[in-house]
Amino acid sequence: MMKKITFALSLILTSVIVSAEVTLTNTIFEVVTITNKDGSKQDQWQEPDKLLPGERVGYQIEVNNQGTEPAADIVIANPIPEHTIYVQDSAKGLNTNIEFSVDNGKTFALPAQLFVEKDGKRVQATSADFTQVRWKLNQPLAAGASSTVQYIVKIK
Amino acid sequence: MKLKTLALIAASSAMSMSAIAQTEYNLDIKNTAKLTYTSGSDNRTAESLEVVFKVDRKVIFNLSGGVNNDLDVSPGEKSTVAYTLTNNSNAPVDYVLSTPTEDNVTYYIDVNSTPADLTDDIKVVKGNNPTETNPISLLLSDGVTPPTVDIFVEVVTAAIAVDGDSTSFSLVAKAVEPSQFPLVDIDPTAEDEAWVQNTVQTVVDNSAPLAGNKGILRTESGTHSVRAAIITLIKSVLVLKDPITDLSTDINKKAKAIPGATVQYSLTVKNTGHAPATVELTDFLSTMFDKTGTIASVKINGSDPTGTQVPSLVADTSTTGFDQLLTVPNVTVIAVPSDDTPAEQNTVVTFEVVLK
Repeated sequence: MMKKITFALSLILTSVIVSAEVTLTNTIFEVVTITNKDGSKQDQWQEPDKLLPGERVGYQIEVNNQGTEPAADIVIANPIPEHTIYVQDSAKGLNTNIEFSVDNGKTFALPAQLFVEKDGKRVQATSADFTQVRWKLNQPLAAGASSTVQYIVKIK
Repeated sequence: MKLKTLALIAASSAMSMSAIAQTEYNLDIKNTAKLTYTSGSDNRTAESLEVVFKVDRKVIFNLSGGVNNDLDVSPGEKSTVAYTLTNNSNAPVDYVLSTPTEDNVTYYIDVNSTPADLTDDIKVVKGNNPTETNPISLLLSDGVTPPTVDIFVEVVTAAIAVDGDSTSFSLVAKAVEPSQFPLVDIDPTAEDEAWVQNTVQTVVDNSAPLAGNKGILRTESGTHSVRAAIITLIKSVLVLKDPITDLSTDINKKAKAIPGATVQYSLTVKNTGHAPATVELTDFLSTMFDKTGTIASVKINGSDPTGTQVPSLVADTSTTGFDQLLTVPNVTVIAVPSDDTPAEQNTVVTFEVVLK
């Protein structure tokens, strides 16, 4: 009798402990262009300071596996917020495949494979047409590990 | 602390987003990140907290035009300079105009877009400024076609104005909070004040010239200067020759005004003003003169009259002792240059008579 109870207890404990548990943290920054002493320019992600039309907002999404098992097949999807447009080539993420949607997330593809209809014609989509951005991590996220992806939009 | 340069933002956004509407202030920009993954064979999802911030307010406007702010005008002339007030803000803004300080200056606010007819438009004159109680209201700019209103500055120069008189104006447009009375100036958020995510803060553009480093002011100034001729007429006489004195043998000999002497009159039209003039000269000629050759003798600056400068000699006995009136029309005299060098311009008309 004792053995059975013990075995059942051990099974329950195992199922609680052994799993991946992924959390998302989304942080916004203001992206500004600074000029270095040598005259070169670069983008800098800063604490936002009065966000106005025409200014760029950077979203940094941290994926954290707080579980005890690797998390696999991680796919992160983010909308291009209303009143903003995606800044071309700004989506980044280590060891990820990045794709975009022009139909609010129904389908995703590489930019060159995206088309929209304008004035009755099917034309290549531009970054202004993107509605979603998606990152697929190429490898599982180990327990206790984190990964960060980011992208930039411009306030219309 | 970061200095927000609104003008650069406006310029860069104009270059890259000219066809895209501008976001209205106070709108929420929302973003939630979503994720799917597998844990073993279990499909799971996760979602971030929603990140929301409000679009802040930018107040930026232009008072443009006035290519011919400073004008040369004539006495009695009504001169007009046109400006356009443009609201490039992402929020509605009201505007108050300054009051003219001169009696002969009027600001017309062309609210019904009829530049050819300003009679029904709002007038701002010395002593009466309707915008102080009913400011000009402009809606927010969509970033593509910003709302505008034309303002015409009219200067009426008195008919009795003289060369050198002038009228100056200083048209100032001030941005104020919309739909508020008493009027409330727009108060920009301090540049070193921290950003507050869910509060609308205000940034203004201080870069415009003559804004006095106040983003809520724009100023355009001008002076309309009277350019008019100032004419004086000087008459002189010279005896060219007489029947007796032989001037060819001695340069020191001088002809005398004896019967038969040829007398030359000079009419000098002197202009000390900054506008040219065309005058008609008339001169009553004495009965003591033989005027047979007078018409043919008329010279203007030493040359024969040309075109419409046809001199005439008509009988006129309205004045005792004179029997003919000489008229030389369309005599022109040029203006003194703006640098007053020389300080006067002259045209000399000469004619000859013979003393009986």
